[in-house]
Amino acid sequence: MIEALCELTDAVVRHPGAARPALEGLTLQLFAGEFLAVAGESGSGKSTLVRALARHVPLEQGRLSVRTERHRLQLVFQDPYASLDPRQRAGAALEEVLGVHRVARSAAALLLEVGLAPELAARFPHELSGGERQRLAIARALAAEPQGLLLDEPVSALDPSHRAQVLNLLVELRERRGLACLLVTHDLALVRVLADRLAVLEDGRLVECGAAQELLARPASRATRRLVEAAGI
Amino acid sequence: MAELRTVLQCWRRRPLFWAALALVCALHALGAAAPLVANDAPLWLAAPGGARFPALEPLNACERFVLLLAPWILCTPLWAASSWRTRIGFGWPAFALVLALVWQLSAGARTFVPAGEWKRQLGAQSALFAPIPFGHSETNSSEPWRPPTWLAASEIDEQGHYVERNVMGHPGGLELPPSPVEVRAGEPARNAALRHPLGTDALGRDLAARVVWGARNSLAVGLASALFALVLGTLLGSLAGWRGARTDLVVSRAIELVLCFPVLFLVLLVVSVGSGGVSAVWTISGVLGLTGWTGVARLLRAEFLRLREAEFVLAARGLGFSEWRIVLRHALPNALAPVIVATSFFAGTAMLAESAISYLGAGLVEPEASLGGLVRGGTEHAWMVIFPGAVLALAVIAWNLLGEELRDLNDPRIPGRRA
Amino acid sequence: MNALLEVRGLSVSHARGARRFFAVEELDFDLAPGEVLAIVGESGCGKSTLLASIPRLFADAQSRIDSGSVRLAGRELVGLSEDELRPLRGAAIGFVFQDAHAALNPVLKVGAQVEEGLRAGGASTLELLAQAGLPDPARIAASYPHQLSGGMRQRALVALALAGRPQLLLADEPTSALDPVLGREILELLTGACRRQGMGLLLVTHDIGLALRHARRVAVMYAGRIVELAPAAELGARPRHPYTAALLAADPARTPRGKRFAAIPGAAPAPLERGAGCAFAPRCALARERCRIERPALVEGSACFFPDEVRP
Repeated sequence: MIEALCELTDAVVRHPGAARPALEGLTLQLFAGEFLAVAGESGSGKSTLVRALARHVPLEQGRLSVRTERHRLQLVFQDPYASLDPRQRAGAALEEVLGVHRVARSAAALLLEVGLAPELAARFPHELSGGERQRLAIARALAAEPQGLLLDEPVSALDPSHRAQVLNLLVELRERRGLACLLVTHDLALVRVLADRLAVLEDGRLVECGAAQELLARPASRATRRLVEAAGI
Repeated sequence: MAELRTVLQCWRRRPLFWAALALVCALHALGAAAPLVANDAPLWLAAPGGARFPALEPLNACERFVLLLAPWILCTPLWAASSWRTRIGFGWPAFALVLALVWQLSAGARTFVPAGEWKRQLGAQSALFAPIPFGHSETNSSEPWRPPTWLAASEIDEQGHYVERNVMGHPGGLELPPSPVEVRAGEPARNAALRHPLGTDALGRDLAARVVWGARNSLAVGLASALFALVLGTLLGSLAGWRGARTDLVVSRAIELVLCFPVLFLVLLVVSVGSGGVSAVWTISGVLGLTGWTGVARLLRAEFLRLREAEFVLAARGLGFSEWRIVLRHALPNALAPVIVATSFFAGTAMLAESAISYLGAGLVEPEASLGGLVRGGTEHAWMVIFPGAVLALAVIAWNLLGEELRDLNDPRIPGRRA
Repeated sequence: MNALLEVRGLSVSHARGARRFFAVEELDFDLAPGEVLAIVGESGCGKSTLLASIPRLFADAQSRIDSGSVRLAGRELVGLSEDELRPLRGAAIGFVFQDAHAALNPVLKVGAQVEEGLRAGGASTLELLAQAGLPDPARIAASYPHQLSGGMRQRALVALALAGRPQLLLADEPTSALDPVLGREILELLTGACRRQGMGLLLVTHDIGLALRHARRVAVMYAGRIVELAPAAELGARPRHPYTAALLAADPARTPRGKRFAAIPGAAPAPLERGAGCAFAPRCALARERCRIERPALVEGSACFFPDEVRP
């Protein structure tokens, strides 16, 4: 039996002061090397799930087991502008991570890996385009030598042309580095192209989980059906 | 050359900011260089055993260091507008200055030389005097309350009487000096236009010299109290904002407690208790700083409460950075912008507070000079109020203008902003 | 039938520091009553500026309409003073913003804000909120914006825009921040209101798939100009501009499983870098010498010299 890279068991998460829990009885595994998509409407708990996996929110009940060190499971946020230090240049941000984890790579090599020109190392986040910022955020996540990437709607804030670049980058990284990817999205069209497995959330509960192709072709739950219709696939 | 072009470009983009900075720096440089600007001892003296520098002799090591910093302070607008490398290259004296201020607290007493001593002992040697060849506590009983010498009404004849009567609101004529005016070695002639360009006070002390030394003291109080408030406020405010919960509770109540203290009475208390060997400038700065840190603390607390939940802080934590690294390298630089603005305004406020206290006779007392104390010296004579008041106003305006420009610089809605 | 909105030769410029650049250049299009026209483009193409220039709601005081005409039901808007234009906003021109959180006043209850925009003789506040698909309109009207979920806020914003019974509705990416299910419901709300009340809807979006699903005609903008203007069905099946074809190809819904997404190489030129010739030429596979020297005009709905060579 393959061991999961990280696993949530019966997790319950409640935001402070909220009546209803954000996540209820959630059990989910992310296996090494796979592409798992987590889909759901707004308020279904997708972002909370990903933050719980990254240990940014505490669990009220349930268990989180991560088979590797904390920094080997990296979270890439939805808004790259907010997740980068606005006073730090691109190259400096990468070098800081490389230095802290003593990784023997150069910032320039990381920039090239994500398809950015090394000259961009001297720029501040506000001087980069949306797609470049998101790729820089991914480069920073890669600098920690992760085994898995958790991506919270990484392309929903981007233009169509930048979107394609970032998504293609994810595919390449998976092939080249064997990374596991957990992609949170509400756009099932992306899931159809990229994902191995799909988990669907509704109101904080997991309603369906299985092979992506299967679920898209024969959606069993109402939530999945609504998403499939809205995606126009 | 390319550096100079960068500097000029920088100035042209925000001229008001650089003008305010230049004004603040010029005033502080003047204060720092006071021993060279207004002194009764000559700057250079050709003595039989070699050249001597009497003006510098009574100064302790720390004051000499501050003197050396004066030209560097003056050039701040130049190097602050340059490239990063130049800024780092010239920035180290900033730390040195802070160390000097701290060192000064522990410095010993200066060697005491009676005012005017050098002038009395000067024989036929060649000597070079300061631009204002009067000491700040050098009395001259032969010319009390003399109006600025460039005024025709200030002319005094050889018997020691004013040539003109009915001048400057004194219908019966000015007070007659008891004896002919004593012109000492190194001083300009009796009726030279620039002998006392700002007039004299009750004891015949030159007002220009007292304004320069008074500015030195008042500016020092403004700067020192602002720095105290900044350091204390940053420490406590960031603790409260970052830790939250109980630390926040304690610090917030401490802030409210401090706000209850009336500053004036606290200063009176401290000054009356006596400051030991420490100069009054430091005790007053200390009190102003200890009561003024609350504004900075509240600002930083608010910023840190916001930044604690910011995504880039979460990202840094996820990347495995230590808490110290996150606070010092990521959170603090992003939180300091409003704090620097507040500190600039506080420096101006502190100067006004000190002037008010000295005017009431409680702060810097004679023979120390302070801009507020100078006004106290003679409210019946226009020049005693106008000149110290103008310099004080200029300093406060400079600090406030700098604060406003710093605020605009950081406001994302105003064009020309640097992130 | 007379057009509701006629735009001819519209050019709008912004100022950045001392320099001035065109955000939108020489736009020509019409909008009929009851019609939905989608404007598709990426960030920086000028679509938001176009929308803001109709009721002259510029964020920056330095922006201005340099030339051209905008006629709403026959009335010229460009030369109007602020006092003449103000009564038209809300009553004749409704605006739906992208970010409902920022567009609603946080210290006023939702009901109060909708009431401010109501026109006499129209639907009441509660009716408008119910029409916007909000369950329990009375409770929503008594709530503050921060007490509502994102979806409810956006519906409230739609109710606010419709409160004045406007003739023209401008929607600036109203669903970009929402999930597809909710986004579809909001758009159907808007298009339904258009049909029922004979309003014209100008829908700005960066999602070409969404535009094709909900609009009758689609205008594609690039670098401040319209490069293609055609009925939705035609545009989707047979694009006549290389940029439109590239946008369609980049749509994930059209990407087969396991294949790479079709990215558009290069980047759009910054406003100050737009030179002579076609702005898309540096990124176009069909570009010839002529494209770099001469700028193609919008002819028969396509601003390209070689519209027939475009492959979807």
